[in-house]
Amino acid sequence: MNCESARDLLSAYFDQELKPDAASAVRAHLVTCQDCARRLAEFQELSALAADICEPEVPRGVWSAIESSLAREHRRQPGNTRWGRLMKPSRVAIAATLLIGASLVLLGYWTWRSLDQHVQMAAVFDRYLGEFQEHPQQAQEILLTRYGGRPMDLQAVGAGQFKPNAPQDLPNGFERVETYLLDMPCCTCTQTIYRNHAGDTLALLEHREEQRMWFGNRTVIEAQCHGQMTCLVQLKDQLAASWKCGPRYLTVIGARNVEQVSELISFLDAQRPQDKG
Amino acid sequence: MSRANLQHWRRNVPHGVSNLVVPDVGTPVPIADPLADIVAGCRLGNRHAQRLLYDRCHERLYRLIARMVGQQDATDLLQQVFLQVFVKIGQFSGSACFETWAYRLAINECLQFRRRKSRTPCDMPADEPIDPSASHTERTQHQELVELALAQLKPELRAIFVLREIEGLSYREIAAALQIEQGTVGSRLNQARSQLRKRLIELGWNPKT
Repeated sequence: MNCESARDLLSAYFDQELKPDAASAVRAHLVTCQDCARRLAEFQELSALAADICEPEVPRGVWSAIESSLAREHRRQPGNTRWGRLMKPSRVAIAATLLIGASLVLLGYWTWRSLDQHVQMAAVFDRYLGEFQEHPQQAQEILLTRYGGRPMDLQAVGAGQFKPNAPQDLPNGFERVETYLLDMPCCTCTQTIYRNHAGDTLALLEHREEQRMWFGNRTVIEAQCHGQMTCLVQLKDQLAASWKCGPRYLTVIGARNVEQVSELISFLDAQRPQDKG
Repeated sequence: MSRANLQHWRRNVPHGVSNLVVPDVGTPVPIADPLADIVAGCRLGNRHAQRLLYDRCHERLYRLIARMVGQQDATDLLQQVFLQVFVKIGQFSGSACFETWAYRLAINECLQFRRRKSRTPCDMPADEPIDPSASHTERTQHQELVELALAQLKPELRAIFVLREIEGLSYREIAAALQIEQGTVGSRLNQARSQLRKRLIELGWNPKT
């Protein structure tokens, strides 16, 4: 071992931190090297000097100060003040809070979804009503496509299902072409298409709730037609009308005028099954 | 336990009884930390356990802190270190001796304190008053010289010298306290001893060797 290697290990040798073989090697070098041996003696002298230095005395009152700080820290922590203890949440309170929170989120989502669906429905009906006079077939496609419209076999409607009361014929030569079942966000309703020899088309929708939202931003006029309060909406040269007929609401699209609306109200009121939804 | 007794105990304890290592073979022999029960109580915030821990450790930590920053600021720092100990005791994993962990916190606090005060290694003696409670006759010239010379060392070298020569920690414990490799401890101690001797001679110390 040379001096450089020995001096690198000298502190570890002095402090007895070397493994036996390394310590033996250093020891062997020190026997032959007075310079390195002198350095080791310097370490010894320094160590003795350090062992004699005065031991500082810890001032009194340190623990009291620490204890006061700990007490202050303890009081600052949530739940450790008097008010904090009163407000300390129990598991039940946490669970209740989470439940209420989840309910509010769901309610918010449901409300948002409902509003969103209503806005979308108003937009669909706006297109439907706008197209109906000029292109009743295309208008029909809008509703059928959007709301999964499917033809109904009126003879096969089971008990408990929404069965339309639409008659086979309407005044002024209108004959039933088809009846569809529509799954709309607001309700399940039926739509029956009538057509006369002149090619005029009428659509009759039956639903359980009033659906003014179908008319969107269009002006709705309330008027008595055949003694029945009716909502009337102008569609270019045609009218849409909605009224209560027994437990249901009926909406007709494509009437020429108020007189036709009154006539339909009268006719359908006479046709409806008494006291049946 | 006084420092002198501690030194004696550290120096003369049979290696097989050491609570951390068997230095001759370098094989760690971990045994239960004597402070484990007290530390467990401190984890629960037990004030009695905190007081016991303070009683067991404060003298050694104070010695270290006083050597690192001077007695003038040592009391405040000792408080801070113990508050840190009690706040962070949940982070103590128990893989090392508690005291080693506490030394590490203390050294970090000291280094941060010195950075905050932006002191250079040489300015401490100027504003470090002599303890008025101790008469000059009680403090030998050599003691004063060592303290002055220590104060002029870089904090990292001062820390390692104090941990070894005054606190009597093993290299393994020093490495854990300073968060350095165990192999670095010896070379850093070489530097510390050489520089301390040089400073002492500059301050007028007459070595025998």
